[in-house]
Amino acid sequence: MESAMNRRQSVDLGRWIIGLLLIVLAVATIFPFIWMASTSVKPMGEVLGSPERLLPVTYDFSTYTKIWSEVPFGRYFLNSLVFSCSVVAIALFLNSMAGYAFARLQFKGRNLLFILILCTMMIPFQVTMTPLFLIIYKLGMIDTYQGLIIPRAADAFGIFMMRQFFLTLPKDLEESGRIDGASEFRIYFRIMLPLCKPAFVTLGVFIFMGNWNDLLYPLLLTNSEQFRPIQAAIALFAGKYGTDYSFVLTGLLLASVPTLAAYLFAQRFFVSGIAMTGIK
Amino acid sequence: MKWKALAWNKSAVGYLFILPSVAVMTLFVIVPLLFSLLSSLYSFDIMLQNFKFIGLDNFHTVLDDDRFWNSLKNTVYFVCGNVPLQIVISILVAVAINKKSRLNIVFRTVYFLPVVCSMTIVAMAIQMMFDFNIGIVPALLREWGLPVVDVFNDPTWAMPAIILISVYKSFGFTMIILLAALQGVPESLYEAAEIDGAGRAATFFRITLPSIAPSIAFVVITSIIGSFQVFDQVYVTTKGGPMFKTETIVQYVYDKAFVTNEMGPAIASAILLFIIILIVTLANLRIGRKSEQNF
Amino acid sequence: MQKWKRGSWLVAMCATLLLASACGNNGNSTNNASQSAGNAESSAPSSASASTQTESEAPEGKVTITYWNGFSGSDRPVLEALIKKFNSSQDQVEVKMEIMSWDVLYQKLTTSSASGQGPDFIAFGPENIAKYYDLGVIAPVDDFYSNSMIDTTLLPKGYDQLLHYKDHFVGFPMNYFAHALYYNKDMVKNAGLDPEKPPTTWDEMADWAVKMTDSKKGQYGMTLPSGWVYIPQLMWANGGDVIDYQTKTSMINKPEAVAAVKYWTDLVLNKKVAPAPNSDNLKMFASGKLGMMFDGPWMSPQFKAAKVNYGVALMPAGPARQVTFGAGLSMHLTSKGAKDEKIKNAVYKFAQWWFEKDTQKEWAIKIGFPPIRTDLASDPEIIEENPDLKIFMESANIGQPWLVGIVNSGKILSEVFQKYFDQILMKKADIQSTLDQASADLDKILATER
Repeated sequence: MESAMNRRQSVDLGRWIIGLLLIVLAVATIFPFIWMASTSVKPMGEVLGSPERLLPVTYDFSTYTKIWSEVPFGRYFLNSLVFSCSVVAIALFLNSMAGYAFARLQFKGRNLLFILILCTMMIPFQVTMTPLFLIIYKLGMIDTYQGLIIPRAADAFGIFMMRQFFLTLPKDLEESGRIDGASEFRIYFRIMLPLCKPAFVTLGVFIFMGNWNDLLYPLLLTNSEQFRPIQAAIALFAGKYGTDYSFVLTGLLLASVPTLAAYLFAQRFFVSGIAMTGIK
Repeated sequence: MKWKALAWNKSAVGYLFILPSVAVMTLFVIVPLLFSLLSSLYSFDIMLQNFKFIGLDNFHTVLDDDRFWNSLKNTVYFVCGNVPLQIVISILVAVAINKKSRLNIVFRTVYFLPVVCSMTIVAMAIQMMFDFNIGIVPALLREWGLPVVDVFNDPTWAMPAIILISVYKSFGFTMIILLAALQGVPESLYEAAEIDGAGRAATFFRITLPSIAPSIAFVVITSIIGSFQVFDQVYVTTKGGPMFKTETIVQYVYDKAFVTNEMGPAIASAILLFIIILIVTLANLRIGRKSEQNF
Repeated sequence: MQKWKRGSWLVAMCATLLLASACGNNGNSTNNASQSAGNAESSAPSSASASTQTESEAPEGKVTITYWNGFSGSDRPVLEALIKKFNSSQDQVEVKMEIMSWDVLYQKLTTSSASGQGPDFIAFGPENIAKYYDLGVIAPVDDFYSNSMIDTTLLPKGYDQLLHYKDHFVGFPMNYFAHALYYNKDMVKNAGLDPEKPPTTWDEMADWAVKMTDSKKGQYGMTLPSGWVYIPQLMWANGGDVIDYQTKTSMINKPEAVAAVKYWTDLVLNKKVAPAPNSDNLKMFASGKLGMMFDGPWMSPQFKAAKVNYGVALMPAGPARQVTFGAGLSMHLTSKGAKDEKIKNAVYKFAQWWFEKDTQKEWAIKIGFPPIRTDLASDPEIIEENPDLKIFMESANIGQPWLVGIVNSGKILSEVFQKYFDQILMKKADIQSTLDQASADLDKILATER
């Protein structure tokens, strides 16, 4: 009896310590965002003069209006949105088809092909960068949305994830379809696709984030500002605005708003989605 | 005969399903890769002129270059720092917030925030936070009378700082995957352990860890692959400095290709990196398989 | 119900997709239309910069030329306004400008060169000319000068050698700049010195640096980055140099050069007047923690914005002579642009306009770069608007460029200068033997271009 009491107490103490550590970690995680936000509204004198203060003495929101006129931020936003959303739409479809085939259909060379696809994950982008540019150029798609979107229409990670997801689904679903004499396409569209929603949410968020946040790739395939996505604008910021640090931080903060919003919106499905994709 | 036709038919359906993806990946990944592999045997300039077959000379150039070996050393340093740190932190956090409660959901959401921001943004923000002159961290340290280091500009501290950025940015991702795995561990296992009177530590090592071992293997492998290709955070913060102490292989490749325009060596070193990653991954898979058999 | 929901979701996705490709095509067709006027052969869409979007559809008959440069900082709006002015001032040429950071510019130049793509003309520093000319990225423009489209006698001393390579003119003047000494007047006063009498010799500079240093307050007297031209500048002032440009051999371990490095190393390592090498001197100066630094006119507006009470002085004289880094960014016709006579003439026209008095005056006043025309040097309006320019224009007389005609300048900068100066300043390596090693490496690289 007594030892159990002791144990209960020590468990409680342990719980407190863990809770404290979790809070410290959470504060540390969120701190850079708070610092970015507070510094972005600091007047320049305070940024340079009193960096030890977290909150500004006087608030200066001028950078938030200035940024829209000085950098074509709106255009960049639109470009990023069109690029990322389109990739999500197409890639979910193509990846899920391939993933389904690798999980459920029998064909010659299936495993070999799958391993080959996985291998492409290991290729650093810098290896394929210049030839990729040449191909897109030959296709006449430099500085177009198509040129940005199509090369991203399928990717190894997505195929892998969808395959793992389909592996977790019970087989009798499709078997009953097959017995009914439905074609494989019909089975895929009518039976399998409707079940993909959680996986689609998860993979969709991944793909959206990956493309929205990518820097080198869109920089490579776009020459003009008309098609350049937001991260390229961030690259412009890097150290180029001299001492106007609050301006730079405003840009960084604004550029991360859409992905943060997308995540907060979709996060309800998120963990369960990952659980169902079967990466475990 | 009929059976064969049927098999072909079945195969054909499979091929049709993967055709679009495979076409895209062939055209935009495999073909460029082959092009690079082939061109690594030539010397040529950035206008893609003056192709001259030189065999393995590009590889010799790279292997003779101290800077390449230095960048390999730095990359290994990064992998050895980043991967264990990230995995350990995410395992601990995932286990700690596994129970469903409102507070834990808040924690989960917060920890995942850096994951959804771009590396460029995270790296720039953290670098500014640690900036010797305008950063809040050095300013506070100074205020408290503690020694201050200009971390991104110090040969000893620059790489740890980059590792810190990477862990900060990605531990949430690993954590989410492990959380998903933890949800699949049947409650009965924990109940059984409690009945046996197992302590917190024993439960963790005997029940929790083995149950999520496959997921851990997955995140270890993917984060090793990713870490070997580390670039964005280096490019944004130090560009490989100070004194080449943070120059990773991909940064080296980038420099060779776009700063000094030595295309042959650039491609050769990238291919070497690919081979290194391949070997490490295969070794990992083998170790993973062996340990799985032991369970 | 459930089904319908899913359907609508897919429809929404497809709609985005359609929108995307529609936008893409739209953009394309306008581009192609404007393009066909000038360069029918290339499918390169040279499109509007969104910030100068008023002319996104070039009027009929205008030749469109694409211009890449890296003026992405505070100079960006000024340049954009000037380009707009040019475009509306006449009806033959339309300049489409793409501004990116210099890093990105070189990266994109590399990838786009591979396909014969890219801009019609481009701006960069003189140290890149040899490399890109040898690669065939930029084209000679001798007829621009033989037709006297600008008066070259008006250029600052030595400027024409920046535009010359292998007996050809290869560029047009864009801007001129020289380094000068910036100092923080408040720190000077606090150290008991006279801010109106800035140092004129190395000894005085060292004295100021020591007196302004207060490590307890995190205050430093002076710093020089170990990369780029800063330390070589000291070598010049001591009568040495990094490279003998005639024979393309290293001079970095000659006594004059070594003595210059010793002077600076003594200040850094023994007198501790400088923060860690490669500290961000801009931030330090702006936040009042750095007494002196060498840099160009582009710093003035930033220090003004940060409300630093600063002064500018001519570079203090070294034991051998008074000298500073003086060079200019130049504009270069690319081989792609040179292929089409119409494009070429359009670029010439712009280069000519850029050299005009009014353009230069506006550029000088708004940005604080000295004009590239010496006949504007005494223009009272410019000095009045921007008093610092007086010093920077005087600096032109003692200015000296570097790495002109060196193909491997990028490699030399990172693999020799930065590397070995860092070793000396950070690892406290022996100066003579380190510079001997640097010299050997430098000669190895230079040997490929002799």
